[in-house]
Amino acid sequence: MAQNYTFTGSLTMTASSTTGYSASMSGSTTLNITGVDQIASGRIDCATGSDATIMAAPGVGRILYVKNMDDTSTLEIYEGASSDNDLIGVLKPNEFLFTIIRGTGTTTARGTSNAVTAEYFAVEIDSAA
Amino acid sequence: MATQTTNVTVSASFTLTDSTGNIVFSFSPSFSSATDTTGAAITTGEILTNGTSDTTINLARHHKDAIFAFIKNVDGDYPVAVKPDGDIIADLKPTEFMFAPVHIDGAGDASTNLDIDATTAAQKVQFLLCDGPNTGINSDD
Repeated sequence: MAQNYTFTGSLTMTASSTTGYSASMSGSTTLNITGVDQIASGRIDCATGSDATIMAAPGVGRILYVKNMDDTSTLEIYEGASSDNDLIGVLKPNEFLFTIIRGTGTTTARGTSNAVTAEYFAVEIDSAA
Repeated sequence: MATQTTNVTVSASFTLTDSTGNIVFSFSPSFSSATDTTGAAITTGEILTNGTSDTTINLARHHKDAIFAFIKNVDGDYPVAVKPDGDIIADLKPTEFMFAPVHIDGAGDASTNLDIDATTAAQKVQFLLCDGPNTGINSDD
C-alpha cells in the first residue's frame, strides 16, 4: 500500500546591495501527501550532451529541489526534455532551487559546459496536497 | 558611471517524514551568490493578481537574463502559477513558496515578463527579486 508523508519546508532569501540596502523574505509550508508513487533523492551527474532525469513524469505534480554541486560549471533544470525549452532555473555553482509544480512533465537537468553533479530530491504529490 | 552591485544569500530546510515518524530525508542547503554588477534592481512587494488572467510583475529595470526570484502565495483560497516567459515553473497553493534563479529573456523571443496566473480568483502574492550574474544562455527559455 502506498505510504503517506508529511513534507515541511522553509526558506529565507536576503538580497543586498553594496550601498547597505537589503531586503529579506521568508516562507514556511507543510504538505500532507497521500499515496505517492515516487520519491527520488540523491546525487546524479548531468552531462552536457544529454538530459539527466531527476524524476519521471508524475501523475499530478512534484515538490522539487536541485542544487548545483560543481565549483565552476552551470546547471540547467527543465520541465520536460531540454529540447522543449521549458527552463525552471539556471544554477551557478552552489546555487539551488526549490519549487512545487502541479504538472505531469518529466524533470530533467543538464550541464552547460561540463558534466555537473546535482544534489536533488523530487517528491510526487497527489491532487489534494 | 555608477553600477548597481548586488548579491543574495539563501538558506533553507526541507524534511520529508513518513506516517510512522521516520525521516525519509532532510536537507539544509544554503549559498551566497557571486556579486553581480550587470543588473540594476532589487524589488520586493505584494500584489493582488487578476482574477482569471495573467498579472505581470514589473521587471522594467531588472536584468532579465538572471533574476533570483522568491515568490509566496500569501492568500487563503486558491493556487497561483508562476510563469516567466509563459512557462509554468511553480503552482503554489496558500502558504507555499518557490525560489529559483530564473532566466526570463531568451534571445529567441526577448521575453520580459514574469507573470502570476490565478486561474480561479484574485489572490495575494509576495515577491522578492534580485538581479543575478549572466547565465550565458542565448536560446529561448
